[in-house]
Amino acid sequence: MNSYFLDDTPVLEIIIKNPMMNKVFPSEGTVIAILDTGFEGFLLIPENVFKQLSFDKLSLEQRQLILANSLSIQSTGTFGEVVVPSLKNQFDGFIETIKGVEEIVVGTGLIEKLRLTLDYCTRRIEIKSCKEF
Amino acid sequence: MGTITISLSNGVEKKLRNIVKHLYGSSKGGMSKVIEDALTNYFVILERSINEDKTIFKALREGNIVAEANTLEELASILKSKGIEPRGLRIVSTKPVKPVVHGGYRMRPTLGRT
Repeated sequence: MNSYFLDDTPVLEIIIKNPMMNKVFPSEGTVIAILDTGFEGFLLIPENVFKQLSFDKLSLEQRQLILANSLSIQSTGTFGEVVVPSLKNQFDGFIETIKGVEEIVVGTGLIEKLRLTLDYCTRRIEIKSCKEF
Repeated sequence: MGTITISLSNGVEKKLRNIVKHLYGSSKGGMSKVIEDALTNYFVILERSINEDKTIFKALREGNIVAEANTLEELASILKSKGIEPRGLRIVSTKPVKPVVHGGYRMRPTLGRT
């Protein structure tokens, strides 16, 4: 079971990679990421994870994230890889971090590559690749 | 030319019949034309969604492209084979990163300071 409800929040077990620096997080197993359809990015990670993956050793891009209260905050990121073991598939995209964030958040930049069914009635999540018909 | 029998909800059937009447009046074959056009467009949308993954990643040093590939794994492999040190490289994609996006509700608004 690699995707499920944690309390009321849908989560997905993933592995994060920085192929350029040959780094993987976590070093064993998977990490829980929150599925957030309100986040328009690909993946948001805490600063310490960003550093562990040596993304900070690459040249970084910056952009603005608009928060729920309409204020904005600057994020920093570069391209990395997310592995979804339950799909036996990996996805490349922009991985970013902001100060103070403690969760790993999967946004629509990754979700749009998935066929995602959230069934709150039976507390079940079904996740497939878009390529599976 | 094939013949398919399908079931539609009342709402969709009503809309379909209205559109057929609007576009083709009572001429024979109007229903088939509308459905064929709709499905053809739908297939294009599906294909586009599937093919969107065809992104090219480029590694740049001081503005010059030192390697490019369809995936980051491939790009890393090329860099390694060329003996290029990845530190300080700028990785870009043919699918550009939007300069401003919504951060979602997981982010605490108190973090916003700019």
